[in-house]
Amino acid sequence: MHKEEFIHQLKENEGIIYKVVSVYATNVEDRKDLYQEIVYQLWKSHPSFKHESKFSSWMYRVALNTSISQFKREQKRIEQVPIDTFLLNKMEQIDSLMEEEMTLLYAQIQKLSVIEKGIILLYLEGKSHDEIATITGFTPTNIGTRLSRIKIKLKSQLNTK
Amino acid sequence: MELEQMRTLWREADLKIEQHKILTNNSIEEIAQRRFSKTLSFISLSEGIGLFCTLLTALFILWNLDKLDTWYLTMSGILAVLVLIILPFLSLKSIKNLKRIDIAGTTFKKSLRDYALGKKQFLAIIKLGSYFAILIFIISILLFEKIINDRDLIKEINLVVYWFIVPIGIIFQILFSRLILKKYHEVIDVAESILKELNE
Repeated sequence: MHKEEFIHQLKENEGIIYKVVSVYATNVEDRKDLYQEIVYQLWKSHPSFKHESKFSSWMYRVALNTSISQFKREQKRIEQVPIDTFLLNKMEQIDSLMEEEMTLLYAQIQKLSVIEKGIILLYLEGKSHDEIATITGFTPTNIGTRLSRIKIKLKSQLNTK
Repeated sequence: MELEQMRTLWREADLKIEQHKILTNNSIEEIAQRRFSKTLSFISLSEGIGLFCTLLTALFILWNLDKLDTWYLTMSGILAVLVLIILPFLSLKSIKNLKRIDIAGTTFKKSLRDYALGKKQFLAIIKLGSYFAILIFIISILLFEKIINDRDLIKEINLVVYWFIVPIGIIFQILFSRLILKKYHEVIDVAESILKELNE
């Protein structure tokens, strides 16, 4: 994939990065760090994108896989690049637009396990069981079972609140 | 809140997110380029210094092996050299395995499994290293005293070494190992729960 096409596609789908970051990182510093790491990993990997899947599906895969390796950097935080203030302002701008209900939803999702977070994110994004299975590597049946469990878990979390 | 309600809420929020673009052509390139150089320098500094120090110590012992004139000092010297070379290399190899996870080419499930297994392997080496640290500390005192001052601490009792340096060193090493092992168990528990959940 050419650089210009990659940048265009990345900008078109940049909301994916924001959503993955909001689900996987809890504090502001971690979110900034993860946001930049995902952009970097996408940049690094874009020459290997073969158009076998949709660009957005590939982006979900890279973003989710990067989020897993994020906890290895808990002890080794990489220095942020100076455009942070701009990034932070923009992220905060979006945060302020979120309704109370949405904030509650993110808070509940963050209580799920690392695997469940990925699955529920893709489900909420409107992906079918087959698409979730392709991105995550689980079988469609397994996705169904896991989603039922997540549903019960979220319900009990909301009831205990 | 039902899953369907959540999906609707998510879709509404999505529209707001889409309207606010964070990235520009310049910011993408800037993040990528700066991140690339920062990542490289961080790796070479922390991991390189550790390996350099242990290899230097191992070379020093090896170079002076002829000065270790008793069977127990020679054996201690060989053991120290082996530990000082093998453990850091095993540790670096496991870090390399962790970093080798193909973020773009593999599925979420596979990278989770690889990551959890890699983390377990890495921490097992750290655990082994913390056990060996106490042994290497005691051996080093014997070896360096012989190489630098030509004194065999097994034959010549040195009260300062036996009653002061060794006990303080051992206490420090035990406290340090306990700290490492506490962290080890926390991380291993997370890795184990991921592997268990993947198999469900």
